[in-house]
Amino acid sequence: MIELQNIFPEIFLTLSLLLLLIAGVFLKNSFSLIKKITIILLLICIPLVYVNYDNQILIFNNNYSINNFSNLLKIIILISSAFSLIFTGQYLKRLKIEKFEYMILILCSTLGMFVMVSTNNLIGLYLGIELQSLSLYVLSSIDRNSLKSSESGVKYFVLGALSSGLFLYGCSLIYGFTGSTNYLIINENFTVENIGLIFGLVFVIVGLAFKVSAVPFHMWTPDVYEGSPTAVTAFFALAPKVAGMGAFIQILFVAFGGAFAEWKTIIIFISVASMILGSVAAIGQTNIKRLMAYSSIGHMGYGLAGLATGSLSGISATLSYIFIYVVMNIAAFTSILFFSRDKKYCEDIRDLGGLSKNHPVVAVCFCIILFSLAGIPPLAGFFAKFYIFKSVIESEMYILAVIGLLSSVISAFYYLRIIKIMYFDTEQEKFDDISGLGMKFSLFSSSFLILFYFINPSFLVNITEIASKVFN
Amino acid sequence: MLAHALVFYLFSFIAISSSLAVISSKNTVHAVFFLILDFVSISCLFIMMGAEYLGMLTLIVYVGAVAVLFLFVVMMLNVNFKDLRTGFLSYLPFGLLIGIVIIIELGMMIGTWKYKDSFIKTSEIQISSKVSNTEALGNVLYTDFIHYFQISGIILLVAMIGAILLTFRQKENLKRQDITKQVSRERDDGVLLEEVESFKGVKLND
Amino acid sequence: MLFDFLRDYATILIFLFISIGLGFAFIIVNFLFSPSNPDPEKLSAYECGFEAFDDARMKFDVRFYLVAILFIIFDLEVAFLFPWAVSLGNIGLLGFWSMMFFLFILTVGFIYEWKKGALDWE
Repeated sequence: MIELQNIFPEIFLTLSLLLLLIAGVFLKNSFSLIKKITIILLLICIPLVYVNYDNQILIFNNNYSINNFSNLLKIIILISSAFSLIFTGQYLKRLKIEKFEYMILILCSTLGMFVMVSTNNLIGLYLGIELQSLSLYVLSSIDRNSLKSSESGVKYFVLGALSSGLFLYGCSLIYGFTGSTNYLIINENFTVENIGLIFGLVFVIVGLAFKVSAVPFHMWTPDVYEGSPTAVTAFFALAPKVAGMGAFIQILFVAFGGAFAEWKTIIIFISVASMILGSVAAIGQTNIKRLMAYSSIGHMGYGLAGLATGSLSGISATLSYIFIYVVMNIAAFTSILFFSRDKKYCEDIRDLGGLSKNHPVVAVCFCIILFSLAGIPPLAGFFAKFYIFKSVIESEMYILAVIGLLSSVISAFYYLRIIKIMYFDTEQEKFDDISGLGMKFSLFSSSFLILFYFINPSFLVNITEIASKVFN
Repeated sequence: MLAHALVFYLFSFIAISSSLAVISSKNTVHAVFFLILDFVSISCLFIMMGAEYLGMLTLIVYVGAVAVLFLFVVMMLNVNFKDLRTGFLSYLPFGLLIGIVIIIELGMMIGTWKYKDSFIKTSEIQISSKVSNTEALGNVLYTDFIHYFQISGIILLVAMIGAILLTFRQKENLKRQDITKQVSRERDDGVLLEEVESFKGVKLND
Repeated sequence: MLFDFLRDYATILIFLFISIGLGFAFIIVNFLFSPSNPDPEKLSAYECGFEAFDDARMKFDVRFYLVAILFIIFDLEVAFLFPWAVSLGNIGLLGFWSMMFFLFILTVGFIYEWKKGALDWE
């Protein structure tokens, strides 16, 4: 029973979600209370994960790994889950979806992501993915009065089930040819000559690419992002992407470390396609949530470019990228939640006209965020892209670097267009004043981090380098 | 040995033909019945491979529950299936293409199937007469793979929450029978005795 | 060995064949000996009955679906109990408590759905 202390964060999350479920159903109108408790519990969980830092062990018969890599990702996941509740503010109340199950589902999903990034076994990965996505399917259609929300839930569910099916098919091939679902044994028994095994590898990559919404498995993203309630969209854009990327790194480098030459081309293709589509398809979008969907597709492309190098510096670049991506998206979605007029949330970017005059502070913050998303120095987004391109060029993949740079230039166009609308377009009516403490806190803290990241960039770099050494 | 092979082919034939019938039958309710037949024959195949517990599980879960659910969905959706079928010809080439690709993939897989030397063939599976299939599973599922087991529990919990959250709608202004309330009702709750003075009347406050 | 194991199922197999054979036999015998005078009037609505306006299949209340899905969840829970009951002697205290925690999780779910009123019909 030595193992229990190592998975204490997981046990803590499980017990707290069970407790909150009971508390929520017995207390009347418990939404705000449960929400506060959930935020506190998620924040308490961060030190619990941190206690295990520098502790590198495999438990449950080598099927579950606790190391710096999984701990770092867990902390990022906890931060994004907690913030996705903090900045939600009055949103759920104003939309009349104040159901306490919302928080329970976020906790369940967080638990699933923990399993995804920590597991060392295909079965564990599958269970983690299912736990995570099952909660997400329900969350995306939680607004039962909105047809769009229900539609997005069904779309997400059908495509998610399809991708799980492909993933399981790949797992069964891998199990058949290597005789195990454990990553370490798969790596031992992997023979490159075996075409069936390569097929299995491809199917597994397809299933995971679906989860991180990389092109050509991105079709669900814009519709689901647009249809779901904005608070849920924000959660979609944050934590599942982190967990999906973590699972990607874990499986590619631990289970298929020997087949680098085989998966390299696939990852390069996915990455290039995501970067190009993410930047080109977003140009015509007028709905800000659809725009963020394409933006996140593009960002996943950059993250995968780091993986395509197959080097430790590539992994650490990807990890830094993910962290900065999370901070930027927290900031961006907080700003989007500010834009509400007459109790309706504006999603059309033309509604932002004259934001600079009506709400100068929000406009400045949003401006910083958009510049950072476009990757303009000296903001955090620039550093994120810089690390990726540095590691890509180090491994002499110049074409990938050039394509990445070009698509980031293209994507700057649509980010800057929003800034132009905010500052130079005809003035629209004022937005409602709905800023709560949580929204202000998350907007200012994340913008602050983005703006002043350049003061001490080595902090994040050191952490991610230590985490990437796990795969040495 | 021969009987084994014959029975195997019989069940495989039923499984494949009924799964074809599922997707080709005009009446959706018939399709669900063919689906049940398909599940039953698959579970027979599982038992023939020695996976007794898996076969029984297929019967319990799929035939019992999922088929019931399928019937519900079929009846609830009220889809006009004749309209759905109109696009059949236009989708046919694409569907055939995908089918051919999958068949080629399966062919490649079988063609390159290479067992490691230590692997065993299905027909040589050693089934110990002492430890039954179910017991062998139970010996590891709850101890060695305890974390998967607990995660499955949480997944079931999420399914429960999700089903209630998405389909359950509390009806407003609905009078429910509350038995404890009925039983604990005292005489004083329902009867009010008032002395009525003449020419003054009684004012009841309600 | 596999075949020794399958011998236990031989009786079920024989039973299956006999029942399939009997089923077909009855159909065939009926087909051969029953009088058959098809007439469209026999299938039409009787005297003052109306022709059907609509499809008999109609939308069900979503509550049926809720009951079915809750049934499946507990069905799966029971499926997990079988191997546990069989091998309880070998798996010790850990195995016992692991199942207890699993049941606890689902009991929490059960309390939730009861309190929520999902089990009430009206």
